[in-house]
Amino acid sequence: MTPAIYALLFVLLAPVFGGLLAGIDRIVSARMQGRVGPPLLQPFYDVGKLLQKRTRQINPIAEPLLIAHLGYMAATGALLLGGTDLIFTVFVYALAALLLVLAAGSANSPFSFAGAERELVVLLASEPFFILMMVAVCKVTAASTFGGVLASSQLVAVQLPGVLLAFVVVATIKLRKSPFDISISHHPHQELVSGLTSDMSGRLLAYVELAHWYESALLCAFMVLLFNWSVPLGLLAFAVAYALEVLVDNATSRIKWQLVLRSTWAATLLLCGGNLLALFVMGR
Amino acid sequence: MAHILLIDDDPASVARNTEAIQGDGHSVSSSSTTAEAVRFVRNELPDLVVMEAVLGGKLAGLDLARSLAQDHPDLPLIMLTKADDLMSDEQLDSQDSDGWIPVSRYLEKPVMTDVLVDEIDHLLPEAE
Amino acid sequence: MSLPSIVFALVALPAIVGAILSLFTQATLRNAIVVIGGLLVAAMAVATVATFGGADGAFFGLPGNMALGQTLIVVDFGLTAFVVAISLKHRRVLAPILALAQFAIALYLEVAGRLPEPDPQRLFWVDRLSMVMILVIGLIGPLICINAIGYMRAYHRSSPMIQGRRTVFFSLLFVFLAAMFGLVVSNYLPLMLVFWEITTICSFLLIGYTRTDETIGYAFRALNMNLLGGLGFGVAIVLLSSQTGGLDLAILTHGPAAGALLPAIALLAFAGITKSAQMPFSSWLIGAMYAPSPTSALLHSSTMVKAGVFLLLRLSPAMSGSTVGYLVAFVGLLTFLFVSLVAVTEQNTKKVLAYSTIGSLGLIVGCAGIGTPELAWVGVMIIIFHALAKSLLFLVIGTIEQRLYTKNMENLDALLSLMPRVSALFLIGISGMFIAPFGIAIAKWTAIRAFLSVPGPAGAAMILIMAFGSSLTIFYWGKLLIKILSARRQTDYERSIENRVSRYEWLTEGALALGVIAATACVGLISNQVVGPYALTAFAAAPRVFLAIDPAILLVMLSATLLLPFVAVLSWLNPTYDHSDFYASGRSANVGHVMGAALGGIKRVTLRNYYLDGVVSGGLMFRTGTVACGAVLAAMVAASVVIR
Repeated sequence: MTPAIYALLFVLLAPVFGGLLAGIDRIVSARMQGRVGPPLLQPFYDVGKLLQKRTRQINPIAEPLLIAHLGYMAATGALLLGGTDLIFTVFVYALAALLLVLAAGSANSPFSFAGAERELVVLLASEPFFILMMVAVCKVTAASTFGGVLASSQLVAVQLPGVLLAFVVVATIKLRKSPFDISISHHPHQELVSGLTSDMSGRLLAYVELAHWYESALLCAFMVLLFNWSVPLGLLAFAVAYALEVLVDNATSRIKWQLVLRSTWAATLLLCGGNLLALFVMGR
Repeated sequence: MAHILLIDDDPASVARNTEAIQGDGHSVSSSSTTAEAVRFVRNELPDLVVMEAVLGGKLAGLDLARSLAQDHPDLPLIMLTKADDLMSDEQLDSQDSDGWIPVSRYLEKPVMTDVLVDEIDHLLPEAE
Repeated sequence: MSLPSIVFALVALPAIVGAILSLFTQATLRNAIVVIGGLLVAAMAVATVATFGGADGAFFGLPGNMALGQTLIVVDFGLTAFVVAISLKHRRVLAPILALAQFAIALYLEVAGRLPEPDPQRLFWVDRLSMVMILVIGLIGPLICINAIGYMRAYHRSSPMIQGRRTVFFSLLFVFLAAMFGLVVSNYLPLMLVFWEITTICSFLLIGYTRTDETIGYAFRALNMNLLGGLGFGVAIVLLSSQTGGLDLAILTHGPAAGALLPAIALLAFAGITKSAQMPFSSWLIGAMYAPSPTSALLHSSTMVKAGVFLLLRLSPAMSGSTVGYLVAFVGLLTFLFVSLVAVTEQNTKKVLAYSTIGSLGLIVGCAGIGTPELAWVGVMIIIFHALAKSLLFLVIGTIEQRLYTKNMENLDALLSLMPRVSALFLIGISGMFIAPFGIAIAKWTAIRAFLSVPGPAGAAMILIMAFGSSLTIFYWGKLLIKILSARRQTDYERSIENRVSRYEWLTEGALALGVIAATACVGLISNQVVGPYALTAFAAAPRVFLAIDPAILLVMLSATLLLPFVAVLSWLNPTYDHSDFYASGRSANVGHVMGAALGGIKRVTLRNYYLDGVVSGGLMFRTGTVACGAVLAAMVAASVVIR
């Protein structure tokens, strides 16, 4: 199958993956909290309902920005699987994430704005990691595309344990899990009301949800990249990591944004940076 | 904590600016005619004056600014004006027109209240 | 017309325009001369590039093989005398000391006959890099000069008590352009130094334009730091005067420098570092932000500071692979990291632009220090795209500043609804600075890839700096974008502010915005026809692909380029904000952006950005960077002497 086919498959199947993942997440969380939880397909029903609901627009530019956010998030995955340069893909990912910030900020309202600012902090906290992760992967495998990395004989996760650990830490942010869910959360007890999405309704919320599913799939693809010698192992690793996230989510409470920034940067610098330094020093 | 005099005949403008300047910790008095303003200044010299060029439909503010600057050379003056055509482009480009009005800042309305407060703080002599 | 003739005409033309401008004080006439002169300069620059064509490089001397003779020393004397005089007037001590030291060196070399006769055929050198610089100076420069007509009008209107010297101002802008042209085509180092110092003097005069105590202080700081760099340049010339071909820039930088040449190279790099405001010499550029915006746009983002990185790029093949080179690279990259940290804490938009400039220059310095074809490619691409985007941004902020009377980004709330067309221009400028696929993002992408090949811990450190630094730039640009893209109900009266923007500003800023977009669209062309061949020639390297753009990337590029401007246009056409109230915990009274307060009454809603208080201290970062880079710089100079 050509990379282009993979790209297309991602665009079509990633939302399904993301939606199911969201459904499983809710059921597992519920069981952890002693509840039964909603049906597995609930996220899909929810998005369907959102698309039917009336969309209150505060600032009309929010919609094109969110459509672009969704588009670029999907594009990131498509580019990744489609064989585009890995580091360029990270730039596109950053652009996608930024667009959500801009859409939220455009409402010019207190809760959305606070959410947008915090999301910028979150971007700042997580972005260095993704750049470094891709650089490390490229360095280890001497490849620059997804296919190239998978085809390499180097075992990425084995040579980059620091990167793997840091990935799990940073993924907590991207998956909107405690203790890093400062800008938006799946739990109702958010001090910023809904944070980023406070002023989004109807279609707009649907876009955000769909984009989040694409992002989950993207993170799974990153994990596969790290376990490049075995795709099933990569998927399993993602499942394990995700279960861990859910556990941590239910066990911890939100921390302040300053600590989010400090801890994530510390993790990135020490784990990722250290790993990278080792790579360079060992002359790989 | 300074005393600011506002000279403007537009009550909405006065209200908005008064609130903002008071919010910055200064005391504000206002007058809506040049006569009133002159009386006021004679009674108690403010620390800074913010004035509109057009008062009562005439360019009375300009003359007032000139006499204030003459009598009190150290008094900072800010002119806010809704008139945007007091000087032609040619006049403005010419160096001869520099100093045409003896105010420190000449700002065309609408001016954000935050900006006005910043300008005031910037111009007030370093007292405290 | 022959190439040498047209180059001389190119240097002479703005000088003549500047001289003419100093004679006429009548405003309408002056404006006309500025516009016509500017357009002629632009045409001349294009003609020069067209005449040069696709050649690799050319050397030539003065017409009729005239000797330079005493001309340089005479000009030097004039500049020194000026510095001494103006320093005496303002009771400054450091500047005249530096200037006299430099002059003493020049005089000593001349009198003692230590200066070997330069090859009369090789006084000037033009290659593709010169052509890039000529286009940057010659196309962007006139646009800024023309913009200044509108800006200065508003500037003096809003500060009536400042005695303007617009005749001198415009005259200086053009003289400065002439000096820049001369600088980028010089091959004989003493000749380049004269043009170098003319730009220093111009910068000093333009920063101190209003002649307030504050600006005079900043002007002297710029003068001191640049003169210090110039002194380093002068000492380098002394060291090189005893080497054959030492003062011939092309020969000097032909390949990795011999050990004996390294101290001189290090000193030349030092000069480049001060000129491009790298740490520890960044404070002069920040102080220069108090000058009128056209000055900031011209001198301090698109041209004068580029002279510094231009010299460093010229030196790049000579520094390649050496310890000196690596340390130069770290000065640049550490500067990039630290100023990005400081920028995050800054509210003054113009200062944010300044920190961003220093950071971008730092990246170029980083590339130049390492010295590979890929990184030279990155450096030149950054020069092109940064000059376009940043000058646009400075001009736009100048326009905004003269309408809203503020540079504080907190007051740029809802700019999109207040000044939609200016916002569109602003958005194009910001996108150009960091959103892929604009050139700077492309360059960063290529730089990260290129740093992968740098061996040892240095490579790891560089990539770490790139990763954290880039993320910081996203943060501060992102904040600015949020401010611009938010919206608020505006009255027609408020929205009429935009109608007062002069047509000079519209035309020039619009032209620059188109330039940013066009350059992005043509990035492949620019890479293949100009920058790529330059990098290959400079490093005598085998052909390679610098920029691999596949159709997928191209699609992302096109869409991302147009996205924010498209959104801005949408907003302009459909300015309705508040289809419904924003959410305010169930309390909304949203006319005029207020909400009902908890205990009754109405409160205005104000939203302030994060400046990372408590996590990043701007002052501390600046001081740390200054100390760190100062140490690296000192190590660089020491290494050049010690390591052979």
